[in-house]
Amino acid sequence: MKILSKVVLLSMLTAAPASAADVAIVGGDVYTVSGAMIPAATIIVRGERIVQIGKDIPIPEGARVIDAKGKPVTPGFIESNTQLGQVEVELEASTVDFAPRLPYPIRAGVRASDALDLRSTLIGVARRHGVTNAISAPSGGIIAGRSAFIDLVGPQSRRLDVAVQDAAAIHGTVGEYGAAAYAGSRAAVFARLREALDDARTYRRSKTAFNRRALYELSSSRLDLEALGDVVTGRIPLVLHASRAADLRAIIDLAKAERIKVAIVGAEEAWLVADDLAAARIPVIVNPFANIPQRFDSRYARADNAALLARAGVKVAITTNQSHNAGNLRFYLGNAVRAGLVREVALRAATLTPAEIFGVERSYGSLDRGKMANLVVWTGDPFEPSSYAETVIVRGEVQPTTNRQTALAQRYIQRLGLRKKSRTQKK
Amino acid sequence: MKRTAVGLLALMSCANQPKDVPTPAKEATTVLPAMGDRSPRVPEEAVLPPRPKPAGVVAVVGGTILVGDGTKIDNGTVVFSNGKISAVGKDVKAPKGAVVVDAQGKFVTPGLVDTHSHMGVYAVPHVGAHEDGNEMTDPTTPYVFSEHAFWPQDPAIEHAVAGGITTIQVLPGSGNVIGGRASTLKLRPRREARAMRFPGAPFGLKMACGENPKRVYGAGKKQQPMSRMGNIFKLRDAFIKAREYAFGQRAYELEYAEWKNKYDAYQEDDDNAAPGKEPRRPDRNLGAETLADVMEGKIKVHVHCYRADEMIQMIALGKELGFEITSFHHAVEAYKIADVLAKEGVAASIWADWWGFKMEAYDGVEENAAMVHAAGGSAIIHSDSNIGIQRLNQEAAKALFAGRRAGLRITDEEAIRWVTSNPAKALGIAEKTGVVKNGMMADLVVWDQSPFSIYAKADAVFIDGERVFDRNAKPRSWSDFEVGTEVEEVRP
Repeated sequence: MKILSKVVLLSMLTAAPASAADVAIVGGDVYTVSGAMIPAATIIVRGERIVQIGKDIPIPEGARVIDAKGKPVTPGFIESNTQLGQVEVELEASTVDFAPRLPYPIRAGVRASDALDLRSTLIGVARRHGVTNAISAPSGGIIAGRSAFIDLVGPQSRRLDVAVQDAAAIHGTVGEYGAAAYAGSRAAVFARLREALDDARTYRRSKTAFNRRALYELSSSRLDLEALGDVVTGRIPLVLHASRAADLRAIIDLAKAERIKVAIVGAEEAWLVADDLAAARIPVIVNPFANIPQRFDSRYARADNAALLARAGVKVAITTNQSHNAGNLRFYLGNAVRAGLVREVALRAATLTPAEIFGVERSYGSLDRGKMANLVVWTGDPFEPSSYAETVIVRGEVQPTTNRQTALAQRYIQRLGLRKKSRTQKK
Repeated sequence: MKRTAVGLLALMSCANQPKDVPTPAKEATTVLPAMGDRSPRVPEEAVLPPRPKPAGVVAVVGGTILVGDGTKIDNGTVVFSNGKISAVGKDVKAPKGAVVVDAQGKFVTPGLVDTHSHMGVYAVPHVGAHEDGNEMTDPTTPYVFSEHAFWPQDPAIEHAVAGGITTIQVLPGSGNVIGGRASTLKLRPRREARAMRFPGAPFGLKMACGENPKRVYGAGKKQQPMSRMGNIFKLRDAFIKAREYAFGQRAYELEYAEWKNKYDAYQEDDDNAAPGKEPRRPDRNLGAETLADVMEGKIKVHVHCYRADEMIQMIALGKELGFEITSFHHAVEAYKIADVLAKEGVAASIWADWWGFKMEAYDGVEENAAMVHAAGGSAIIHSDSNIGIQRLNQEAAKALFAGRRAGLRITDEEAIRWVTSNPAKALGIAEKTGVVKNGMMADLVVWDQSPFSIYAKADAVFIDGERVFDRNAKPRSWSDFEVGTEVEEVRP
């Protein structure tokens, strides 16, 4: 995590002279997420950060003014489960990097950031719909590796060099998919997982012995055990894919026994164990479209899972589980509301909550003084298809909301004269 | 499904065959058994569970009606009885004794129609035992029929109904160049697919071009087709052989008629010439029979196809081989040839925004449906998904607003056609459903707000006037799969 030092931050906040690069977003209804909505407020962005936010704030001289009068302004959305930047065309293996074919199941040493391409055309497609950040995770095996936390800047950005960071999370899979990846048995997956965590602890304690080869043989490679160190010390969460209530219970027990932080992705049956998850303070990342028994693993999936979990006090983030259509996140949030989730909680589920789960809440997830200026001006309710993201700012830069797709569409709208036709044709 | 001599002549003419085919003797068509639907018959009672009593006269009063023909009626009323719509309009009054459904502040649309579903043939839960949509043992399988695999207990079905879907076409998958016959069903709970058939709907034929067949056979099984060249060859080969088969049948019919005349004459009077040996009836070929029906226009052609160039090739191929394409499916690049599709009268069944999962889907744009529409073509939003089908209205909304944002002028009442009358037309049922008007089947949805809102929910869904979904009635699951579980009463 590259987080500005306090000194630098303070000097930025107090710096009097307005730089030409300042951006002032004026008059919008600002959904801070951390606090109440501030109607008709102004946000001043200097460099990458928000330096002022509130009512009656003077606009610095020379600032670029963005008129947001009457429009909702929200933090940029964070999509918690993608492979953005690690895939271009899913069925073309030469363009896919998120699923290494490794002959062993513990791959904690794999880092998505090593393979991440910010010029992927998928990124502009997601950004057009107000997604400014994403977790891009590897997959496969039991422990897949470390994800990246990305700022979805455009290829012309001056921030390309800082837009990919190693995320504060290691990802893995148990349940049906874990069993499919390893040994065909859920129990075997948990056994192997416990062994890996135990070995990671042993390795931490006994590096000297390990290096002298004076240690019994460990189950995983040196790099993988090294990478798991942050998990076994509780510094970062192990983010596990699981669906079935029984698996979720097993994860609760594992987290308790191993004293590790976990978060759960999928969690279709989480509503059945909502109180236990709340008590164990385990956050979940759910897909509100999961409402039918797609697999026996998610036999009791239901549309109001997120709503029931939130009511029980579980921290809920919302995901599309998609890369190409990650931009649909706002519609998933709308559908969660449709199924009973409180609006404010839905907004938080794609902003501050995922920021907290992935340990970036000091800089991301809400609109506050000092935070990274990742924000969106919407033409209306962000969850409605009739609205769109009018201005998208990432790391203080106003980003393009056009992309390869809009360019393709415009090319053919012009070639075929469709704009005119749509106005003149007989209905 | 009776093949007539007229149909056969049409079949011949469209293939530019010599015109000197002898006129068939009148008896020929009566002597021979009909060639159409030869599936064994089961009495209706065997597949129909007891039906709830029809509700009598129902009046849905005061809603905004998105009619489905491009128009809108504010504060309108729809009256229906005996499964049919009997009155629609602003000034229509609820008849005395009618069951009144208050739709003040709500929206009324035709029941939604999905041209592309695999529910029942790829039922949930997705286990190996439920993989019934692709007969991938032969790249051309016109002889299989999705209806034979349809599991009416698929728990996904009732969720589609809760989303306002009243009619679906159940298609075989796209692993094969010719995947097989498709069936159009009304989504009422029944014990077997045939009892769900949309009455009078023609069957469909699923075909596929592009990556899928060549991947399944070439890359997967090291056999033909391995390339797009092979795909097209397989198609041409199958249709040309089917035509030869149909001619063989025809030749036999003529030969048989001639022989029968001689035979009868000889029976009457053995001074007449001996009839000789009875001509041998050619073996039946179920695949060729299906393709012959396709070439006669009795079966509608639905082609899974992504790329613009391939769609144009398929249209040309249809002209060469004698079939007309009703709708391309997925048609991710339809916008590039929106003018051609409009001119040729081929519909495009598309997703709002799926793209990039394979190379032929890489050029997907959100404006696709709107562009097809703006060019004067028939845009259809399809699901191909048991999740998407639950919110086809939202998918249409995304496509609509993407189009408006790009500067295309499209009204809500036009866009509703993408999920109602346009798909109905593609399935050959536009005379019966897809528009809220007199005489049509009472397939209706009452929405709590505009169906183009993300928050819209179907309050009530009617199929043939029967209320198949009622949000306030806390519906229990129909599917046997859910019975006795913790979700039987809470989903959807």
